Amino acid sequence: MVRYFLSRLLIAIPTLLAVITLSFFLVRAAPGNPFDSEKPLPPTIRANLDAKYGLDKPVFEQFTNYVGGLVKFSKEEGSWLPTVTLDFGPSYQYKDRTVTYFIQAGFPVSLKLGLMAIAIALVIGVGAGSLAALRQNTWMDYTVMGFSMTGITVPNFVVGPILQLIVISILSATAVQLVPITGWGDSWKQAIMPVFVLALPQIAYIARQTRGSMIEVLRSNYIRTARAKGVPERTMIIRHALKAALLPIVSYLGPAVAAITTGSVVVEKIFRIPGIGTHFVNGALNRDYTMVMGVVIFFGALIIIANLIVDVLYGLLDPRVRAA
Amino acid sequence: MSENKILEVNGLKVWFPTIVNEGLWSKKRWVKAVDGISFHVNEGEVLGVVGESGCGKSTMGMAVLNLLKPTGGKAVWMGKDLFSIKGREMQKARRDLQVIFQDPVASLDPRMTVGQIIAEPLTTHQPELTKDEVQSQVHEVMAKVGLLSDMINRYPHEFSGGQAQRIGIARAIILKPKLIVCDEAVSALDVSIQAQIINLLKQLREEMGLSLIFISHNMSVVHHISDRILVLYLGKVMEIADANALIANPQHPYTKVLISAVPIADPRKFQSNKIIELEGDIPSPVNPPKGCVFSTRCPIVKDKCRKEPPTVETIASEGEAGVRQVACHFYQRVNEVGQ
Repeated sequence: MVRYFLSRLLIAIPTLLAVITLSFFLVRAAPGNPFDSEKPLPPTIRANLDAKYGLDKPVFEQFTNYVGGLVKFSKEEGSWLPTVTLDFGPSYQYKDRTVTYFIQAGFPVSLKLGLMAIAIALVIGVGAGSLAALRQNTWMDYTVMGFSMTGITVPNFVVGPILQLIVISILSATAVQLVPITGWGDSWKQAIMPVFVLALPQIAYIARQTRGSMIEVLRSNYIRTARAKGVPERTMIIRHALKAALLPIVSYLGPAVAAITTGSVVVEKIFRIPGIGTHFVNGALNRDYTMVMGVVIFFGALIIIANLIVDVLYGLLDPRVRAA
Repeated sequence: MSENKILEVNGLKVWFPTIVNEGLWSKKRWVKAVDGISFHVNEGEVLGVVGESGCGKSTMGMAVLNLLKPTGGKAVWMGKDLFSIKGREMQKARRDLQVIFQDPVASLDPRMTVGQIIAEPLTTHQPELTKDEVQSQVHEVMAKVGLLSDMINRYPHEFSGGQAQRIGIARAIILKPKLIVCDEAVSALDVSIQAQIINLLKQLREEMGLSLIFISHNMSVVHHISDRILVLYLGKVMEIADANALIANPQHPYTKVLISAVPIADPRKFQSNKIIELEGDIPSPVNPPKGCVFSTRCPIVKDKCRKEPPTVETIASEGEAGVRQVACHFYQRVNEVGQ
């Protein structure tokens, strides 16, 4: 297991390098320049800017400079291991800020928001999905599946504003504000609405997935064996059925956690949350090369780590995978 | 052998709903997998159940275990109505009522070790046992079925079919049940292992005095292990009789045909033995023949058979052990079969 884990970590390095290379050249291949604006800059200023950020050099040299500058090792006196610092460079759009600053500021917010949403989605999704599977083809099943279909199809930029509208109309009618509708960090209540909006499609997806795999597992022979042994129904579901039914959920969780914790532009805009998602999109729109690169590398690393954790979990949950 | 009935089944019916396409409209129909079967099992007795594929053998077994919901009928298990008890009481009944499944590997939870699988019935029904007591009992039954004790921490996928079947048997006998339903317990195994497992079951039966319902499509295996044999065809009982008597002197045309099809390992003997071939396939249980279910393929069919379903009659034969039951209008003319 340890060996497997380490080898997977080693494979992550070339994977990340490939991600860096590809996105670097793709971003440069896009038309335009970070300093393009509606009113063209005077050529001398433009040349000075390009020179300052190294954009006057050939693309390949820019690439080696960027990659070379990414990781810095520094050894302090008395410490045994060198400290590693990541430097994603300065933002081209926000003049005095570095990309690392934006990630450090925005990611913890998005992470908190995302983890809360995933945790809630897991609890409700798995619960509702199992219930639907156990009461297959009853009104309970139809209700859960109906709600989850709605959750998947209605986009969050619809759900968010509608919820805000509801809260506001209640406020104007009764002078009671149920929950704050925007903002972050002043009160835990501010998290309720964005977490719910983020979690909704995840709940829906996880519920459907759980229901499907649960139904399959419940029909399998070893569940019949457990019944024949005289194992009480609840023990049977938890010990035998749920463990197997959760495997597809676990593999879905890897990319889902990575995606949700890197922030949602829409949710962050609607609820005015200072997360990382906004920077991702703004960076791309403004051709803020270093910002896009920084966020892409960060996202890539997160996905790799999340998938690695999933693989390890998978091995723990399924002995057949462990053997291979 | 005592004539103490531990299980008595009366008019057992298991029907499955199905959708049949008839022209434009689909219709809900019933697959009558098991349609009014009555039999009993005595204490310490092995009841063999034979029949072609799809005749309802396994369905019958699963229904008796209450793993399938029966459509009708009654089963009395040690004085209790098996189909009406629920929850706690059903779990208690399962302690004495175990099963060995047809597909050995798929019947074991792939995420549990062999030790956990075999111990689960014990920990469920006797939670008061300590870990050491459970462990020693697990080791004991593993030794009994011929599993090495160092296999205890392995997972089901690391075993062959024969070994997995032994795990299934160990799991079934650890509670010292009174009845085990063996649903094609040996069909998935190769012949040498079949013999081992059957001898093991015989031995366990002598040691523990358990009863078996031994379901198989293999007539010679069933003959080898059973005291009495029940012959099924299309969800109905054709004949029930003492095993030796049934083989030596079948009274139902279908039984006779089945027996004639059993291969004999001696080529000369086998050649002299005339196989009676049946025409056509087993009819669909959705649309069974009107009269006797066997009437479409019976070699001695008469008009009466096509109109009137025969009842299961108890008949007397001279010099035979036990009671014999036959469902045939013309069982006296069974000699004409294959002539």
